[in-house]
Amino acid sequence: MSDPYLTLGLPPDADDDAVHAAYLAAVKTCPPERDPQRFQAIRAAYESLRTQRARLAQALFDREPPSLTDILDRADPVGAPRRPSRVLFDALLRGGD
Amino acid sequence: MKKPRKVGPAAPKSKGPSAPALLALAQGHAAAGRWREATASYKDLLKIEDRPQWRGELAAAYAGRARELAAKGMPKEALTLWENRAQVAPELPPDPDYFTLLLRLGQVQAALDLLARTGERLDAATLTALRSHLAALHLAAEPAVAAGLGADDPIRVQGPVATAALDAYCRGDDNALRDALAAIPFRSPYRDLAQVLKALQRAATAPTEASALLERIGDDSGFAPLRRACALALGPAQTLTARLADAGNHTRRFALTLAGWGDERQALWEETRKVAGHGPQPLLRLLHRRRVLLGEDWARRQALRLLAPGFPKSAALIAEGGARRLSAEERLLVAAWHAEDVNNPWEDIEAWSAYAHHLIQTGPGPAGSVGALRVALVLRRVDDQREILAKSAPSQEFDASDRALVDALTLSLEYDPDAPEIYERLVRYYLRGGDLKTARHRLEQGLKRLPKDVGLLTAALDLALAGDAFKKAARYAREVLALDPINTGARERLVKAHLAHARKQIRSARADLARKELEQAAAWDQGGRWHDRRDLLVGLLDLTEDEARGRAALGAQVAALGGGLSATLALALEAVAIGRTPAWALKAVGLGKVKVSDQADLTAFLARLRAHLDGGDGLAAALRLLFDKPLGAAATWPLTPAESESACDTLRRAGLSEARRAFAEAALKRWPGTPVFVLHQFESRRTGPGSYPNRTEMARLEDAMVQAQESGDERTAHRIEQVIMRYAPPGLFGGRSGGFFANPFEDDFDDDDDDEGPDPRPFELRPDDALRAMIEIVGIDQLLKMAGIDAKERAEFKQREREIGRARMIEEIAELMRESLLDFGPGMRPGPAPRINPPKPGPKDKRGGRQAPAPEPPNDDDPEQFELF
Repeated sequence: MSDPYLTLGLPPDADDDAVHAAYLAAVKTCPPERDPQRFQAIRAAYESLRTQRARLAQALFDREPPSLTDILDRADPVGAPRRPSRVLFDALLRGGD
Repeated sequence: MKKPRKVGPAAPKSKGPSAPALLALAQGHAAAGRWREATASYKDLLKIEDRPQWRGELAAAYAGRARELAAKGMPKEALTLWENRAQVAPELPPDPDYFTLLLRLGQVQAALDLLARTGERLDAATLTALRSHLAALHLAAEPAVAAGLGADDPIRVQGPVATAALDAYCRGDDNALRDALAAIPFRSPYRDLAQVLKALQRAATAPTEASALLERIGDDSGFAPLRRACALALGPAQTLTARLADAGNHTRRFALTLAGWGDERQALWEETRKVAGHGPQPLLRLLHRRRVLLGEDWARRQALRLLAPGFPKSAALIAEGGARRLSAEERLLVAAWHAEDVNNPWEDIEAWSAYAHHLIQTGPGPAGSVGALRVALVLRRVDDQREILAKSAPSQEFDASDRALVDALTLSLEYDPDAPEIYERLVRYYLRGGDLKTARHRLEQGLKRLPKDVGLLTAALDLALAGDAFKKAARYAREVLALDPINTGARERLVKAHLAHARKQIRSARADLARKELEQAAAWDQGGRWHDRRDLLVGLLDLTEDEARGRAALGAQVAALGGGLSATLALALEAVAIGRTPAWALKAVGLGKVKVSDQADLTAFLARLRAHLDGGDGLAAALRLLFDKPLGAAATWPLTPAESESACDTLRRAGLSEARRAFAEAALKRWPGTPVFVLHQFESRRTGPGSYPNRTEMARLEDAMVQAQESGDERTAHRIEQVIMRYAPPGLFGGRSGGFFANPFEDDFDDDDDDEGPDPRPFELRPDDALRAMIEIVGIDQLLKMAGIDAKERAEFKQREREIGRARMIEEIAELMRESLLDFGPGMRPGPAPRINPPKPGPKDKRGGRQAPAPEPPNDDDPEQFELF
């Protein structure tokens, strides 16, 4: 995910305090020992949004095109695992693919 | 008009292939998986003779073809072939694939009939697997299953509890699920369903255990599609979509739901995955179409980013995608993004400058406001990215890129004056170029706004040191340490400043002031890192005042340093630093003859020398003369390859060429042909303007480069390549027999001819002709590259060539070369590539500037002969 706002789950007008709070929450749910790669992404996102100067620079200079994941995360972020409906079960029980 | 048919005797009816031939053909097709051809051949074979074995083989061919068609999505055609198989070999047990195909086609009763007719011929495992398919269908509420099975069939009997388990899972009732699962017997046709549901219960907390449960379900089970969908969902989230690339619609939806994907996300993914990898246009359309869901501003900004790589052509795509055209500001921003991909700082500078000026025109607001900060960031962008000013000194050319960047940074301070790193960058840039006055001006501006900034105060300290303002330097160092007490860098700078000031005072015969400085140095040097130098300076100061006291102090200090060459170096360095000759100091302590005492002394000497060189100071000529020869005597000592290489490198940095050569040659005797030592030997021989390499040396160097490349020593290979380029092209001036076109490194004389002097043979080709021939072979650009011209300047040559034509360009280059070379004539030897300045730019070409290199350290390579006493 390249968009730091999406990584931290922040709105585009987030201020310093909001960024800091989102960072702490993200680190709490994903500490470095559990998923180092994800933690690195969280840390990088935090660094790129930490101050107003950094946020302005991110808006001006980040030119990385959106990935498909970025668009999906923006539209509807991944949530907690869900249970498929009985209809979906039945389709697979009937041998569908 | 129809062609007339030839009339002649009727051809005899050809006889078909024999049975053995047909059998071989059929078996060949079958072995190769060519089932259609195999069935045709077996049918022909059976027309000749109906053998049970051949029928069996035809049945196998029908089965192969049926599976082939089913895999191609032709189930009805596949079913026909299964029926053919059953007809041709009715005694064979039913194939499970035939059975499952019937179920897939909804022919449940036919499948049940088949099972009733032939089930006793199946083994228990196959029968269990086939019944699991019926169980899965029964669970999915297929009425034909119940209709075709007896009321006491376990599929019907255990159906309700399996349904209860599934329903409980779907509605999230884990207690009910647990109870229902407990009621499903181990040998139930719903056993695999129980495994799936147990795995799903454990998926979040124990994924490994869940995977193990899923692995118990066989591929032939009626619950295998469920197992597959669950397994796809259980893997890493980052690769979920890749894993689902080939999955069917239901499997994808099932796995995505399990993985926490909402309906909106799933729908958008289904939409976007079809357009992935087809350039920016489909994504641009998608962003525009879904802009309300994604947010108008966000979607627009992403669309701009998609345009950057193909700008300006890509600008039209955004309107084609349905969105509004680019505004002036958006166009400038995308152009600047695009310019960052072009390896030309001027493109960058111009593009970001244009964007900054657009922002300025729109009224960014007062200094420090968001708008003003945005302008400042844009103005600083190029130098922040390329770090040009951090590495260069002010260029002498008015239109050089560093000057444009300085202007941009200076302007940026009007919009964001509280940027200490920008003041510091500018101060150090001017400091590097020796422009202390401008550096001071920038420093004062910065300190006025940010008087407590450690970086700026450190720059102030360095600036004061550069101006020999030691008192001021000490004051700044104290300020830094007051703000940052553990700033070892400032403490070290302060100690060095006091020592330097003490040396200055000794040089000025101000002993009392020198002692004060030395006391100050001692007070700040808490770790005692500089006490050796300080004590030596005290001893030397004593020596200037009272010879006997000085001798005693220095003698004790030299002894404390272990005597030997390392101590000699320490003393000689300080003697030179206070303006005395090394001989004066060495004589005082009785170090008459300079020599290395043992290998430990050599190691200590090299370590001390490295530390001195790391401080940014070179080795004075007097010291080079003092140490060069005595060090050579130690070259034959048994050093390891790493020690030898380290020694050569230190001696290179110190300019101790004779010693370096001795170490390199000694190493080559021990480890012949080692590339890094070939390089050191070669370079150490180039000690003056007349020491040109001969062809043997160049050939040896090229061999060493190849050897380094082959052994993976890229660093040495690159260094050798740089050296070869510096001395290339030898063919340009070589005049070898065989002409200019001969390989310049091809040696046609005896390898033993290890003459170190210049090649005595005269030129046979006029230099201008040689140059033209060279251009014909390699082209103008490559020639300039070989002459050390950088890419930017070569671009100017190219522009000039477009303006005046190739022929005149060649003439101009020849002329430039003649001007650049002092001796461009028949006596010219291969030597360092001449420095060719690019042609003067035309009136519109303002990109001719280049960075001035960082100033060379003072050249103290005085060729005077050193006499010790």
